[in-house]
Amino acid sequence: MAISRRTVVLAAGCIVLALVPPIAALTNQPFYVDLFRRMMIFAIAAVSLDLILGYGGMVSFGHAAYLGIGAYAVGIPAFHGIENGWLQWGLAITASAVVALVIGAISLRTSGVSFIMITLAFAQMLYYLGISLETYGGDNGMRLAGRSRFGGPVDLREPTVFYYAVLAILIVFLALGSRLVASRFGMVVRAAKSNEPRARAIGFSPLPYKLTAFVIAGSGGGLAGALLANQTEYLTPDFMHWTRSGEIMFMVILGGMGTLFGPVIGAVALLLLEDVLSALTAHWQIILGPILILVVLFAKRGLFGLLVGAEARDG
Amino acid sequence: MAEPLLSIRGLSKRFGGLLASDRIDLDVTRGETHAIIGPNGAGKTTLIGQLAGDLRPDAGSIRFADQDVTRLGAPHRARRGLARSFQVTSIFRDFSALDNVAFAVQAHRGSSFRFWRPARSEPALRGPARVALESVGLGGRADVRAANLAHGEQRQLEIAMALATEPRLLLLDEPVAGMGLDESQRMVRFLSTLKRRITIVLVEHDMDAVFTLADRISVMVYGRIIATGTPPEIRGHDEVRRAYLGEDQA
Repeated sequence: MAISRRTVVLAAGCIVLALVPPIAALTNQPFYVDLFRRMMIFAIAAVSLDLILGYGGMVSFGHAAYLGIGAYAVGIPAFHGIENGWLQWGLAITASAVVALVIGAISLRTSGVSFIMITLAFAQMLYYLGISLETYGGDNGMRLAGRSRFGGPVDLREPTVFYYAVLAILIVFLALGSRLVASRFGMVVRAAKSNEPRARAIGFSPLPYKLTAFVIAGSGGGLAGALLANQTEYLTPDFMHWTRSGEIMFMVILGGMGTLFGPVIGAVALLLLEDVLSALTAHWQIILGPILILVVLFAKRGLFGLLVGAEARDG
Repeated sequence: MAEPLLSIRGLSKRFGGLLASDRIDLDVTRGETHAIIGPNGAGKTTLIGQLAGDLRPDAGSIRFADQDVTRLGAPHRARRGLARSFQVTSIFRDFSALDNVAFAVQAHRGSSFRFWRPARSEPALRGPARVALESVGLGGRADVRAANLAHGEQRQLEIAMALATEPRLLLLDEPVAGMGLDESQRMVRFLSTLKRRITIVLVEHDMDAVFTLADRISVMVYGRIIATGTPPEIRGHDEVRRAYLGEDQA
């Protein structure tokens, strides 16, 4: 069987990401390790959002909430001297899952604009909760006492080690995600997006499936948050601000909704544009805006669709 | 004599001032094809909605397969063996034809809280789905995206989805609506091959289809069933002729 364009693009993406640290070392530009690590962390958040936004049609406008929860789940224990990474990251995933369960159980009873507004409202509530945490810096946030510790060779203080750890997590997350969307469970979530009355008439009550997907997406966002806290070594309620939720959503749309891999390209492209354009002018968003509009108008499956063509849709 | 497969008693549904279902009694016996006809606005769609579980009746009861299902929603009734087609074709447009049918099979075979194995590689889903697709004559179109099928093919696909679940009762809401003469004749021929094997409730405007397929016909007018009988009885029924059939059918 011929190798599909999709496989080529995915393999190329993998190789490019794997080569960033050696190239940065050769060219003496360590900044790029930092930048690409940041991109991959946001990619994990964007891919997790795509699971519900692209595949489930759930327009959650509060995905940054989980970034914040994940970040605080690393920052607060670290503040109290608990630096064990397994514990911190485990907490980040569990806490995000629990919060997603609560938000989902309430918001998924609605749809359309109400759903968008409720998820947005919950995220803003958490944002203000973060501001009210005076012990942990209030609206200024706080420095992370130290990066999560895992023992053995996994020392996140080492930029390259941290980089490859994030890359490995991203790849595992994508692999799990592509199994998920093709599974029986994934079919139900996609079918409920495509035609909910039909799914019901066939015998499925979509709510439990959608809620489960919502929780899975939330825990993915929480994991990204734990990584982000380690990345910036700083955490602030701004992680949860609604503009951050919008940014993650843009990554998904820019890269291609319902393509799973597209949001990775979306995250890379958006942060790269931000980086390049902000160096040109302080008003870089004036240039970014039209670019996003063009992609939305002319690339149905986003940048991934442009690269891969008709095979963009996962299955 | 066994209990009828579907048994409706005193079913009433009011929308504001409109009594869309007015104390409807109806029995559908196992194996029969029961057509429901009536002029536009007679309340057929409301009745279908209540049978399928999309609408909650204000009063009355529905028994299906020896159980009271009045309070059950559509998914629960579907799992008990009530399959339906919609008046406006309702399929998963982004899925291939085979995916559509395999998904219907999935609803009736084991849990769908399975996260790992690709659904498209499960023979237990694909096998029966292929058989159902073949049976409606779409065997050669299995991999076509459902949105790209012709209108008539989409209607066939919907029937295949219903059949794949091995239903006890097939609820068909205007299965030949919008079809050309050829297509509609083919569909009627196909549906007649299902007769006896599956109990069918058929709501249809096309009188040729109704009189070809139905064992019994119920006539609805203003939310009430004014007559139930065999096709010759209905043809000869004075009130029905006045209310509905008109000159061309007389």
